[in-house]
Amino acid sequence: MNAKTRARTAKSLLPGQGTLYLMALPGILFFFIFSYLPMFGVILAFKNYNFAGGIFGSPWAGFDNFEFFFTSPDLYRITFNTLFLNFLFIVFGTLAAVVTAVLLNEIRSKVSARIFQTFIFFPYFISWIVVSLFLGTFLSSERGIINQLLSAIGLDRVEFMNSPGIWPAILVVVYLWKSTGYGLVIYLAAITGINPEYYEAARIDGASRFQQIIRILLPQLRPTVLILLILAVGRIFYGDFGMIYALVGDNGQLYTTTDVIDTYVFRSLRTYGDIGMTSAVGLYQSLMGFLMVVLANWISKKLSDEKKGVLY
Amino acid sequence: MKKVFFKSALLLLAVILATVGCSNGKGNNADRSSPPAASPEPSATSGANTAVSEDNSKEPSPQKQEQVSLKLLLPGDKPQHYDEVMKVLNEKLTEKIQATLDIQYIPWDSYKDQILVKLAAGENFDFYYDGWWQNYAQVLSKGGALDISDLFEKNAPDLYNGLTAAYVDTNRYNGKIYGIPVPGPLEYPMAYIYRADIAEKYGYTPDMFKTKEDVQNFAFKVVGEDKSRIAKLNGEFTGNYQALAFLGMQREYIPSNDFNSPGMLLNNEPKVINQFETDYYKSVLTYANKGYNGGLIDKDSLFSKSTVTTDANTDAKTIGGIGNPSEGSLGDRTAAISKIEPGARFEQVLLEQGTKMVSSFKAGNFTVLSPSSNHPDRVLMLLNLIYADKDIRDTYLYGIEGQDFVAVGDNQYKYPDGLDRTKVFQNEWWMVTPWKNARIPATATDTDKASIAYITDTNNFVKSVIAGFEFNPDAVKSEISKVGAVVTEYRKVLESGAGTSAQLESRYAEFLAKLKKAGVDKIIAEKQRQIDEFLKK
Amino acid sequence: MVEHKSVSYRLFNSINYLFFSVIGIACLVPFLIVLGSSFEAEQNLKEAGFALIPKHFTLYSYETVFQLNSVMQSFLVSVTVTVIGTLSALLVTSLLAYPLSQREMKFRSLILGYVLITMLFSGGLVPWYILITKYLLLKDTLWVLIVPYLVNPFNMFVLKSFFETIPREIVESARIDGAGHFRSFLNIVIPLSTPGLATIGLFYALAYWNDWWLSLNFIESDKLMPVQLLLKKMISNLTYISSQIDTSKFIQVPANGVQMATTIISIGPIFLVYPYIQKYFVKGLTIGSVKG
Repeated sequence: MNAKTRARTAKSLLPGQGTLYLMALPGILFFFIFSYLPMFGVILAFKNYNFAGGIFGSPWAGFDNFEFFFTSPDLYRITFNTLFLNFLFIVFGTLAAVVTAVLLNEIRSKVSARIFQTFIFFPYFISWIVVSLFLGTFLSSERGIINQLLSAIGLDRVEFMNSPGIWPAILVVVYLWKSTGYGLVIYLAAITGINPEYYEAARIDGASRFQQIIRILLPQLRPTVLILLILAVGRIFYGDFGMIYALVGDNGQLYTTTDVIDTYVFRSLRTYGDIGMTSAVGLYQSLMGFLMVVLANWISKKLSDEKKGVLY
Repeated sequence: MKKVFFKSALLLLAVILATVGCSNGKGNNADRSSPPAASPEPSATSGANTAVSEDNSKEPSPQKQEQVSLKLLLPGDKPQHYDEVMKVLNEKLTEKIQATLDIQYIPWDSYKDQILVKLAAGENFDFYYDGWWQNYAQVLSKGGALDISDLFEKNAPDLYNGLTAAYVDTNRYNGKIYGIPVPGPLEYPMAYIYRADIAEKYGYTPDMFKTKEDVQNFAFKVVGEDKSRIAKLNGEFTGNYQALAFLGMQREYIPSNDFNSPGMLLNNEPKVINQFETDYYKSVLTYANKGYNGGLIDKDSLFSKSTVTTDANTDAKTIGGIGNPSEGSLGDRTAAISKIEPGARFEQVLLEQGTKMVSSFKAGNFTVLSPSSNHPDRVLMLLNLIYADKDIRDTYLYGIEGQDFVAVGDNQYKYPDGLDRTKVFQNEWWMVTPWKNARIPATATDTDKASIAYITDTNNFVKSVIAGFEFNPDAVKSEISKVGAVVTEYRKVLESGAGTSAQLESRYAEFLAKLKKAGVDKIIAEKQRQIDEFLKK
Repeated sequence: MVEHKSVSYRLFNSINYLFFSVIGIACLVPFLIVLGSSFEAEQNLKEAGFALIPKHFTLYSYETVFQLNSVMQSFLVSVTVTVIGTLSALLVTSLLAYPLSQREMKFRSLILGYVLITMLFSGGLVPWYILITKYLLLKDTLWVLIVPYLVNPFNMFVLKSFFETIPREIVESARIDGAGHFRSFLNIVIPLSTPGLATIGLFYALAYWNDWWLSLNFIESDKLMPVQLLLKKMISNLTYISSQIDTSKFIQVPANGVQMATTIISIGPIFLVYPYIQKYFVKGLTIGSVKG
């Protein structure tokens, strides 16, 4: 680009660019106020917080808050649970969504497909508070549907509230119930977006419907799956607080398998009121999350052989 | 695209720096500007000074003060007729101390965390309720209570003298007065409150309930014969099982009423033990386990997100429960339930008669002034009025006469015809003013009255060998937090009795091992060391 | 596409229909159980437990709910917040998403990074609380239920991707005709983006309708209590229900039934609106997310 053209571009674009920035301003301000301003709260992680001193007046604590957390036996457990549960959600969530999307695509009647999709998508819209009520109707030891069925066929009742071992499975089922519909819609769209010419070519080659799915459909889905996977991996250090807090609540018996970083942070705040420590855990989580995003992006770059990763 | 990433990182840095700088400025500005905004005339501190200078006149002269609004935080749900009652109350308060009261009720299940967040945020409120069995200890250690050592007697002389200087001193913390103690029952001996009509039907008389086993056997018998009955032997309120475990023994928690902290004294001997390690504790777990597997315990209690699971006045199925002694409610309960199930009648027995419980004669509940209060003097005047002025106290506690309550004599009340507790205004006395100052229900039965007399008479209790001792947790702060985490995780499950007895065994062993790992022994040793030192003096 | 007539394909097809029928029903079952239980008599609920088909059909729970002073008020609050919130959030989000979808915008990637970072770092509850209560003075106002959720970065990215799918030629031709960025955004991009806007609109509406966190932290007066917080209160304190109704009319307060009935009522609006916007929704979501 020579100097002349550059000058011309700048001239023609600048007034318009001003409008663009003006339009973006409210959103930028919003993030500045509601996300960036509270970020100075990270200094709390290095303070021995007391109510009289507040954020700026409390004495510095160095790395004491981190020491408390890093020497605590809980560190390993909550990190493991967060990663493990998210791993299960990602794997099963993706599988369920892809499989249902592929199968739903095979249903030729538009009306039926639409009805099925409506049903499967619906739970996505229910709040976790309501879901926890739903779950209670199933899992209650005395009155729950599952135990009513079990005792009706002569089997022993299961005390779900007292069996931490099955909770990862319960959480996965609830997760699938609530969010498969969302993934389904996305993958279904990716499938309908595939150029029909590919199928045409395959059919001319004599490929069966099943072969078409394996050879054309699935490879075409790969980029979408990857993008969503990578986005999910980036957030793998964040437990779903709304879900787990609503479903498990304060049942200590289930913490061994369900306690995640987010619920732990919330509980430390309410049981010990230790704001410094809570902030330290939050910072740990943010940093690990940041690392994961960088990592995920790097992987996506390697996988796609492009200069640019999924995120930047 | 490394460049872009680098750029965004730079930007982030710039933004954070700008943010910190900016908010610093903001914070200072706000700090500087807030007192004048809150009180246009004299600033907060000079307000306190005015009160101090008025000390010699005792009765603060009404004309001189500016009108202020005081904010109180209480746990629970907003009572009926709140606005009407407050209007009446505030007229009276304005006339006497130029103040109005505004109460914010926070649901029980979020009260503790909301208090912490509000204190942490330095939000503007003047006073709040707290207690050892809530999170008073944490609030104190984090500086969440205003030191009123110099203000209390000056601004609330009647309350101070009524409580007595000795009692106030007993409840000091690190030598200073923080929360104002609210004297209630001295200790809480365990009681069984049960359906007397059902007991009679099965041939039980009150004197047949002597131990917790008697209660359990009764429950087994009833539930065994009548499937529609619910035994509900869960401890719904913190502390029941703790007390149950040591039933019939003199027990003392350090700090008092802190049931979650390991380290207590037994039988008034100055030897600190880990209560979770004792045979007594183990035996109550076995007891609970037996009840759980025998169908006496609501198996969903672990699932329950409810803080108040039974509605005492609508639940006609439950045959009884072990808990704190009744404080005058048996009559009302009988009346409410007999509407649903004719003939229903409630009765209670104290399970610990014959044992003199040990007491440090400390309060469990406190009215605490917030460090951010702009008018601590006026809060104290208000509390003094509630203490000394019967009319204001009645309005604050029971609402408007005729609409919310009917006064019966000087110290009793009843609900207007056809109404009950859920339909009228009512505040809890134990959050603000001594029990002897409150009215009891006119429907209280003789058992009620006997139990009230019992739990308030110092002669029924033995003075603790470490009365006056206060525990300073600083040296073992981090251990206390870690142990606290273990206790919250295990206690509820263990004490619910859930699982097979083998599960219970292994879970209990796990609990003890984790306590050790979290440093329980260090806490016990520290408590012992401080007590030894205290006793040497 | 030509239908496959082979036997194996037909068999597959039947199984497929069966599969989706089962899954579809499974997705609705929890809802149906609560629906069934809301018509069940309280005594049966307490003793026999929850049921798909009530053993003793009654409207008692619903009668009680409509006696609750707070239910109607809460609905009003939730509806107001959802409507105002969704519209404002759509406005601010699309105003931000559009410039970011324009490749010629300088500092575009910087701003994108700026937004992305907020998805990862947060200052924690306490600083956020202090900001809202002490500096923004939003506590106990209707605005506090709206403003903190005005832009969700995820929704912003979805909408940005959607805008990017609009052919550049259309926008550019308008610009050549002399329209400014704002004009072409308003007159060309917005009308072409109904599915995208409907999608994130529904997301925002859901976020507002289902939220209890903001109200739990910032709302003091009962007049501003939204439905979800009311539900939470009912779940955590059964006596809350009896304090809200005229118990003299009831021998026994149907506390469990009322929980169920309120739940059903709280889902109602979603249930009613959802089928109508579903088609936009699917379209918007797919275009937005697939392109990442």
